Amino acid sequence: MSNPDRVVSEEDIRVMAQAAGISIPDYAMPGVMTNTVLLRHYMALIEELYIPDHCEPAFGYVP
Amino acid sequence: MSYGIAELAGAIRRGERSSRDVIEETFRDVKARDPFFNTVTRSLYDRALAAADVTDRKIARGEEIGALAGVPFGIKDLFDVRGEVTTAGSLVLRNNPPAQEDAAVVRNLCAAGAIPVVMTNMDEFAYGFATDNAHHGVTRNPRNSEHLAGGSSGGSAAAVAAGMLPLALGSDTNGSIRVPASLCGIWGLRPTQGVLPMSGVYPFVASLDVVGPFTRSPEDLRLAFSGMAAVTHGELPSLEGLRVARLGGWFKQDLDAVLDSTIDDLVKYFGTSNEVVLPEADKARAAAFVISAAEGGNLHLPRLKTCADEYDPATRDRLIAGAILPAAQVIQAHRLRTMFREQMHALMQQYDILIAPATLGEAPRIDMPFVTLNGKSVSARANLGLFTQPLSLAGFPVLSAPLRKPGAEGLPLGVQLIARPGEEELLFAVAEDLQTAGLLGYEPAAADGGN
Repeated sequence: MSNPDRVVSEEDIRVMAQAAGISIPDYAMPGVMTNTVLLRHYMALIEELYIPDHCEPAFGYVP
Repeated sequence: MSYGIAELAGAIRRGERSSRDVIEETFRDVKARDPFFNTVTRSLYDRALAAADVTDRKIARGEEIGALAGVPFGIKDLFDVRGEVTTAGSLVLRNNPPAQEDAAVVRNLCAAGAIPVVMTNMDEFAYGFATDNAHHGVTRNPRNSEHLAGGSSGGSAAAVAAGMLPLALGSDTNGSIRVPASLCGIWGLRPTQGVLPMSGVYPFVASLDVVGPFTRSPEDLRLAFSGMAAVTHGELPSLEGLRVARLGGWFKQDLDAVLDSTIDDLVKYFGTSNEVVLPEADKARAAAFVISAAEGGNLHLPRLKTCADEYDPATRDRLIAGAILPAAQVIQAHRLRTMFREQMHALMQQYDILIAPATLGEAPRIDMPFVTLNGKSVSARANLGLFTQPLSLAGFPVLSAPLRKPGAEGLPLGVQLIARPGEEELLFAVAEDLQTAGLLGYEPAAADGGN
């Protein structure tokens, strides 16, 4: 489970960004950091809810 | 242009006004007043006049014309318009080729005789609730120009609220129709997800995106929706035995006092005081947030790698944060969506209409773009959708309606009327009934400037 209180480091963000092929300039790092911390909070909220195994993702694709 | 859609289309049909006269008056009005509000990004002058002349010739020859013949409308900057580059309020797409054809809903409205006249301001790539665009500037609220119009479809909402247009189009992913409609004191519709075609609409979050209209009356909202859907509706459904409840819990937090008491009045009008809690609304909002960030980030990933600095810095940083989200949590959000949808259906077996606030209160000031949440001052741009985002996740139709009674500062307040999927007609019936009862329909004391 995500821990929203765990400090997100610049290094964490740079590693994740590198995996996605993005290079984050220094001047953008504070904004990306703020948004990442916010999203981590929301991820923790949705992870704490028990969801049965047969509850499938709502991707909405209808072939 | 204070006329509504039905009134204007009737006058043109009967030959009391020419379509060209209406379109020319619209452009004069926009030219004179829009600098005050900043709702318009592009004029479609030549196309509009040509369409007006076609309408006038058809009427002169006694030919059949559509139900919306001659009605001018505005288009949010993310719909394809033939011959125009679809920019979605950004510089990033400015070198794309012009659209080959209109978006499907624009085509439908034109087939019904309506005439596109301008394109309207928005938050860049629809990512925001403020309509504060780094490239085009901030759109001002016509009810008080020192306040935000809301977003992301704020240019469309403000143009209608200012009386410059009787109809404008927006898109709603997390509340981008409902929030500005509420803050500007007009009517807006987020239709059932999937009911209106999205062809030719630049996406933000394909899982949640819908398009819909803004108007100054519920009757016009129905006409506009019918035109966008290319369907003809019959009589409105009966409200006999209607089961109504207000949403409590998440939807009562930090609520404006007038808004809180007036929602009680709306429920009492239907002879009840039902209040129900929609389970896991906070988590539904969180899931909408995560899905939006991830899909938005994914959509823009190629450009974030090559031209990130062409984005509004605030948009760029949100998109990058979304692009690097772990997949497991995004999939968890989509599974939560399935569960939440089932909870909504279960609740709506007991009730036909649910009522919730659209925003926390009146429009924030432009120079203080914050809202108070749990005693903390937080960004309006990110949080004005507090009450709209959970409902986006469900995909049910929601009509944003202005209260008759204003807030403490005299600015509009709005509510969300929620029905089961496909029951837009019931929403229109309820909205018209509450308007007739004097509970809905904002009546400004005086317009602010630009007149």
